[in-house]
Formats: sequence, C-alpha cells, structure tokens
Amino acid sequence: MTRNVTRFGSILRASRLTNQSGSVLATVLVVLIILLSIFLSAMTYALSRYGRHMANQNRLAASHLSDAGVSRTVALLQEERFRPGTQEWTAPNGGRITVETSAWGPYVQVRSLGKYRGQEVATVALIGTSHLNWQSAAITMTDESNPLVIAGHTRIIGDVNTGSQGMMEGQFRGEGVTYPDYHKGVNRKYAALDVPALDTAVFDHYKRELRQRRGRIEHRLSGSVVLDSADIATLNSYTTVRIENNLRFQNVNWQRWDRTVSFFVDGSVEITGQTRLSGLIEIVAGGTITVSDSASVDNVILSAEDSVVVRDAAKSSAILISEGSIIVRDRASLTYPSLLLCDVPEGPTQPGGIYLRSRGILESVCYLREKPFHGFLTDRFLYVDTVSQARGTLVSQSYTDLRGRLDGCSITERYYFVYPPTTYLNWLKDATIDRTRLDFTPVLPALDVDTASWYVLRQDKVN
Amino acid sequence: MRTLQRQDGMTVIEVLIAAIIFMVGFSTLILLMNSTLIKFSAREILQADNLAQEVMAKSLADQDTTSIDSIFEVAGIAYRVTRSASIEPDLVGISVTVYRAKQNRKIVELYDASVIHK
Repeated sequence: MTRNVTRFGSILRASRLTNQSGSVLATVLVVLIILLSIFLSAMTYALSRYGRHMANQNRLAASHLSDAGVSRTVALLQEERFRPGTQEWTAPNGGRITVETSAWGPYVQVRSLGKYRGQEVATVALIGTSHLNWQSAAITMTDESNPLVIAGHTRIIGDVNTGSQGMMEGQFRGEGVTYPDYHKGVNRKYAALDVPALDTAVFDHYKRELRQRRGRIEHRLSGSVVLDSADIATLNSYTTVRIENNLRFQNVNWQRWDRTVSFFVDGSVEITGQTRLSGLIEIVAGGTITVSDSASVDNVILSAEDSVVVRDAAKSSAILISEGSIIVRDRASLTYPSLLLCDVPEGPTQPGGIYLRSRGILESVCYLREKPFHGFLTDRFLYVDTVSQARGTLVSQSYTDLRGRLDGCSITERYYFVYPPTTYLNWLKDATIDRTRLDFTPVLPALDVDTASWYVLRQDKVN
Repeated sequence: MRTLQRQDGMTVIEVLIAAIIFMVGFSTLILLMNSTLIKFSAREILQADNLAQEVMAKSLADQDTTSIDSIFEVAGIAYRVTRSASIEPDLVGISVTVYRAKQNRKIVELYDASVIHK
C-alpha cells in the first residue's frame, strides 16, 4: 500500500508514468468500489430501516381506521338497525375505510378494512346487543300465571324481576323448607313482561345467505371424509364444500379469517384429537356434531339439525346452533364469547334444549329460542345440573331447569322442577344464582328489542 | 507500449475526477433525500407513535371531545400534540396529530372512533 501511494505521487511526473500506473489504477478502483459498497450498504440499511418504521406507522394509522369502521357500524346499527352491504368512508386523515356488514349466525358480522398510504389492516368483529335492564338483575321471569316459588337451599343474590304474581316461599311435602335469607336484592313486579326475542332481520338474513351458499357448491367429496392438516391446503381455495356422508377433523390446525368457508355435511361431524379450528369456518350438518378429546373451536359456527355435543376436555368459544339439543358435558369448557343457540322449529317437536351436565363448565350465553307456539307446549329446557357451573346469561323463551350454580343472570319464560311424581312450575329448589359474581355484561345475539343497545362481542385483526 | 502507458495514467486521473464528481453528486442526492424523505429519526417516529396511541386510547375511553394543543416532552424531545373531535349521531370521531415541536412538522396522524351507547 505504501509503495502504491509513492507511485501515485509520481503520476504527476510524466516521465515516471511507467508500467506501474496500471496497478495504481486497479488499486484506486478497488478502494473506490469498497468505499462505495460500504456507503451503499449503510444507506440501504438506513433507508430500509426508515421504510420499515414508516410502514409500521402507516399500518398503525390503518389499524385505527379499521377499528373506526367497526365503531361507525355499531353507531349505524343503533340508528338504522341492520343493513347488510358495503360502505366506504374517507377519514379526516385521508385514509379510507371500507366496511362489509353481514350476519354470522344471530350476530352482525363486520369486516372493516382500513387503508392508509399503501398499508391495509382488516378487522373482523361480531356485534350483538345487551339488554341492560334485564341483565343487571339475577332473575327475570316473565310468566304471568304463576308466582316464582323459592324452596330448599336456593340463594338469589341480585335483583329479581317477576310478573305481577311476584315471589314467594314454598316447601315440598314437609321437606325443602325455604332457606332463610334466600334473597338478597330487590324484587320488582311488572305486567306483561316478555323474554327478549332474536332480531329476525339478522338471523333470517344469515339463513338466507346460508341457503345461497348451499346452492353454489364449489367442491364435492363423496362418502365419509377424514381431514387432517395436509388436506387443508387443498380446501383453502374453496368457499363451499359438500360432504355426502360423515366428516371428521383429526388433528387439524386451521385458522381462516380472510373469507368464509362453509361445509355442508349430509351426515355427522366429529372434531377430535388436537384439532384447532378458528375464524370464518361454518359447518352445517344434517346429523350430530361432536367436539371431543382436546379439540377447540373458536368463532366457528357449528350448526346441526340433530344435536351438538361438546365433551371430554374440548374447548369452545364458538357459535353452536341446533334445532334439537346442545349438550355440554364431561369437563368440557365453553368460554366467553361463545353462544349456545337452540332454535326450536315451528310445529310439534321432539324433546330437546340446552343441557349442561356432568361438570360441564359454561362461561357464555345460552339462548333457547322458541317460535310462537300454536296451542301446545314444547318440551324444551335450558338445563343446568347440580354439578355443573354456568357463568353468563341464560335466556329461555321456554323453560329453565336450574339445579346447579349460576354466576350471572337468568331470563326465562318459566322455571321447571320435577319432584316425582309432581311437576312444579316456576319453582327453584337448591339453586344458587349470584349476579354479583359476574363482573361483566355478556353481549347477547342481536335482539329485536328497542331498549337493547349494540355492542362489539369480539374483534380480531386478521392480517 | 508507450501509448498504452500514457492512456493508463490519464485513466487514473479521469477515474479520480469521475469518482469525486460521482461522490459529490451522490452525497447531494442523499442530503436531498434526508431533507425530503427522512424527516424524522427512528426514535422520533416510535416516540410519536406511542404518544399518539396513548392520547388516542385515553380519548376513546373517556369519549373526551375537548380540543387540545399541548407540548409533551419525551426523553428530551418536545412534541406538539393536537386532538380534535367530530360528533356524529351515536359516534365520537377523534383525530390525534403529533408534530415535532421544533419545526412543527407532522410525524403521525391517527383517526379512530368510539360509540356513544344509549
């Protein structure tokens, strides 16, 4: 290097421009290339780092815009009720908000896309309602023809709303004498109470869209099908799949939030093993749907004409819909936000309802929906057995048979208790209902009640 | 052979001059980019983002519709924060903008909304 510098100094002397100048040129070029490379690398790194920060900042702005889209939709729901379709707004900071509103079961589903300087963030939210008047009380019983009778070790902590017959103490043939201090709270009597009805605009819209999806099947699988994780890559390209017999998910890990996929299964469905299903997945079965082992389902709709069973150590924060029975048992755990919706069809039906049995744990919302009956009573129950725990809101347009513990509130047409050979209407025996142990107000499905307010049930960023 | 030697010498000088011109031009370009594209340091962007998010979260939670225009100092750097609100039926829209206080240059501008429940 020293020698080259010396040679370089001699360049000015023309006579010394000899055969060494070639190596000087090469040295200068090499040094220049090295310097330039270092300079360019440093600049590229600095610019890319800066670009990343700017992209993150624009993404942050887009994220807030997508949240604003959800809030704006809730405000519109409060003003105009449910209007499915797509709407666009320009935000004050120049960003764009695109919101698609549709129905996801009995909830309103919003897909809000925030765009800001080339960055896009999508949020999927479920919106429902809360009936704060009734949900702040421990019990709301709307039956006008019989009083609410408290017997045995029943404890009610929280307000009680009843029809004009009010509340009284009772006993069963000398036993089950009402426990002292059975009620801590206020008892209010109302005339013409009604269990809040589902908003048919939302649920019927969902059913219409479901029928349309059923009418345009993209992929058919004949016979019974067992799906594992390897099959999901194939199925990801479809939005509607029909299985002509039974379907089994075995150790499948599938999260799908970009668009809805609907499975129409003629037979039964088993979700077993370590299966994890989450997102915009909808499974509609003609037979039974069973979630068992350590499987978990999140945000998914499981809809069965026959029954839905969640058992073993399965976990669910899904929307379970059945025209027959929904059964939670054997330490199965349902966590909020999840919904058990028993949708009783019109006309005489088989006995059924929502059953929480054998140490089943429910932290959720149950809704037993009964169509207006035409001169007959259906044998439909919302049932919590003595060893199960429920936490949340239980709503029944028919009977509630509550024998265990409920931390939350129960809104029902009537209570039901059998002490053979007698059936007691509106009797509560040895049940505990404690409203104070529920520190939040669960969001219910969309209700057709003017006094209900719209709230976001869950909100997920999906990209 | 002699011609080749002379041309080699000229090439070195040409290369040096070209390199100097190139470096000067490149540096000018970088300086220009610095002043137009890279307005803020990474630290400033992060601090401004955090500040904007903090003000936004509090404004949405409190549904605070009052306008503010205040100077906040974070780790020795002064930021100007403005908040404005637009009230629509059942909705409060909040805009939060954070500027570098020294040159009053906008770093981040967020918009979000909160529902007014009945």
